[in-house]
Amino acid sequence: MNRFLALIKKEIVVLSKDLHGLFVLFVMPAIFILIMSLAMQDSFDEHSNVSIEYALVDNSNSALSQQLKDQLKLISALNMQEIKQDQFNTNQLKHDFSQDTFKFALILEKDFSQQLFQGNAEQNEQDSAIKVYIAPTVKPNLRRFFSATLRSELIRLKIAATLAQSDDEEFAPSMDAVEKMSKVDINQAYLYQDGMQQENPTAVQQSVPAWLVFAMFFVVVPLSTAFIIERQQGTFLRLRMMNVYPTSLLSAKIVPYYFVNQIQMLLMVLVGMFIVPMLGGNSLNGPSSILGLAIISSATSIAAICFALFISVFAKTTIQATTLGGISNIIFGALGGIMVPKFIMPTYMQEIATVSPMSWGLEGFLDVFLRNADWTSVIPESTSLLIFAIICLGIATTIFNRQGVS
Amino acid sequence: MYKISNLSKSYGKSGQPVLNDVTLDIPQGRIFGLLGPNGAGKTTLISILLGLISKNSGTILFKGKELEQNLAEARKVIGYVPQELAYYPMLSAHENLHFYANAFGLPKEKIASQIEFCVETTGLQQFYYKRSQTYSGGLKRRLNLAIGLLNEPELLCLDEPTVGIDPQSRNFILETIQGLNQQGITVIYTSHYMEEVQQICHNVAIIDHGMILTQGKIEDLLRRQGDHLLSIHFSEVLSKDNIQSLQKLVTVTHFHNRCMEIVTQDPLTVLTKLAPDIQQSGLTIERLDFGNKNLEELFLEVTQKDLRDSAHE
Repeated sequence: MNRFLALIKKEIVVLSKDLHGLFVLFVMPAIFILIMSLAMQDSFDEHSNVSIEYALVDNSNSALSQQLKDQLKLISALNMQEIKQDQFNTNQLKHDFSQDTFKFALILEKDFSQQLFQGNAEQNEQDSAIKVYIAPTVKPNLRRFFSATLRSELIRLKIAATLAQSDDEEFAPSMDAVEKMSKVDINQAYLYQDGMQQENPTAVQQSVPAWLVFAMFFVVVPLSTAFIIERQQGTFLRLRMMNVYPTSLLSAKIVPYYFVNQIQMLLMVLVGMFIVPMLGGNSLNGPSSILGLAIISSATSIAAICFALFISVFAKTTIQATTLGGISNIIFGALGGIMVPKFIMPTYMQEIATVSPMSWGLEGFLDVFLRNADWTSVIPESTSLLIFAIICLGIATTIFNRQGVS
Repeated sequence: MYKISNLSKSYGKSGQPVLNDVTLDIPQGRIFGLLGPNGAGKTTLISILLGLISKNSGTILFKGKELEQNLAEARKVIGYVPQELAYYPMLSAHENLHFYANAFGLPKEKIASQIEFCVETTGLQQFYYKRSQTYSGGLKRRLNLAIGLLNEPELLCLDEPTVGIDPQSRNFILETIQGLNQQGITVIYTSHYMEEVQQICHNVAIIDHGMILTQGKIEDLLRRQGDHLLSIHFSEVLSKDNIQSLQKLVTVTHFHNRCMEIVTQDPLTVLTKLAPDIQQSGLTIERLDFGNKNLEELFLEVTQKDLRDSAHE
């Protein structure tokens, strides 16, 4: 048998007998994708079951305040709990906020109806007939959503009430008529590279590529651990004495771990396509280009393995390797949009994100899973990943040659 | 097998020599023991002889040829058994031996017979298909040795091959090494166990501070150093007065707490001279030793160190 093939075969046999390593490489990422896809499902679902709990105190007790409450009750994303005026106090509200019972409290003051028509004469927010208390944990986008929804309902209410007061019979419509008048159809569609589609991207469509890239880069843990143990056990020394050269020792690691990464990819995609739907999640749509998937998957894998080799030769102990490799991956992941989607990052962070190889991998996978792109779209990201791989391997080989094998 | 002349090696910017002008002859067909305290330069010397690190100056001839220019060829006939258990514990002896045989590049038709030889020589037949991490300490050492024999070596380099194993396994390994030597294999043997080295080695070199302190055939070295040594062990610690009065009667080589050593070829005359004084001083003789020095005594005398203690430095 060819020496190089013997090294590869040994690597595969050792790996196949390492149950902990296999668990880290295959089972953990699969479980992770399952959890993330299911956990994030609602944030991508327009018919989400998630509702925002809020308290409403009606001090006005008017027909208009009742009308507003009726309108608000129809909004599925908002779940109102009315509190009687004599039971409401800010101390209790603070407690409710701290217990996360409510996110908001909407207070309609006595002069709510009057202000709705005449406006706030004082032009002072303090004297407004509509007060909203916000829990400290509420994020700005949620606050904006609540505020916009409330404004929208107030405007509708005001239009209806104004028209109802009109003497002109033609302008004395019911709420249904207002509904019809205020309704403006907006045709929304996601624009993909192969055209427009009405179908929304699902959580699984977003999470599988992200966590797949993360899982691929996690070969750093089993690879570097095995590498350092081999170095400490003297097996490299022995192989060196058998005229096996450092470059061969490093290169022989690439092939088996490449296949490990490809199996990981296949497994994650299958989990997304079949297991997630079985548990009530959305199904992953297949890639738009098999060739594109193969290219970006190969490039990501080679980059991940070469990075793992760099960590392996750089670290002196397994603890150093797992710490260094693990932390680097988490930084790459955080920067690269794996943990936090890039689109919610500020502009300067989005620019920084482009230095993370995980970001290149993720963009490539999103091309074929989300943007319905063809294989040519993944070439720029794949090229960046391969350049990164060559640099890592070059440094690793230089250090390893200088170190000798002990 | 090896002819080493004026070999020097230093590391780092300080240039502190680890090996200093080492000249050494490792004869073919013999078992050669390399002894020295930790930090003496043993590992560096072995690593240079195996071509794992480069020298600064000097010449090394292996089988009459410059080693550096013929390294790949030399390695084909050198079997190396490191102190570490340099194999894959997840794999069985069968899998390990096949992997190393292939990695070494043994011809396909030779692999089976050579593995069979290694397994028989090291007595691994019963455990051949078992995962090697389940082996006892002795079996692990035997597998380590078996892998070193895969390439039919002309020279076998063994680094502490009996560390941490029971006396039976140690004896098995020592007998195996002697058996291999009888088949014509030259052996370089490093160990902290002096009695092992004395038992199996024909030649030794003692190295310390990067210099060869002494080298040659073991029996010559012991004879040269010792002639005949009479050691008198007392029950009591010797007082200054005891020492002074005994020194007037004979030439004493060494006094320890309860022991005096005298180099002599006529121990009876010495004892006759000393007996009245010992009796008068009220000292009691607990034990008498007479004969050549052993290797450990030689080592202590040459290096002024206790080898086992130095291992914990």
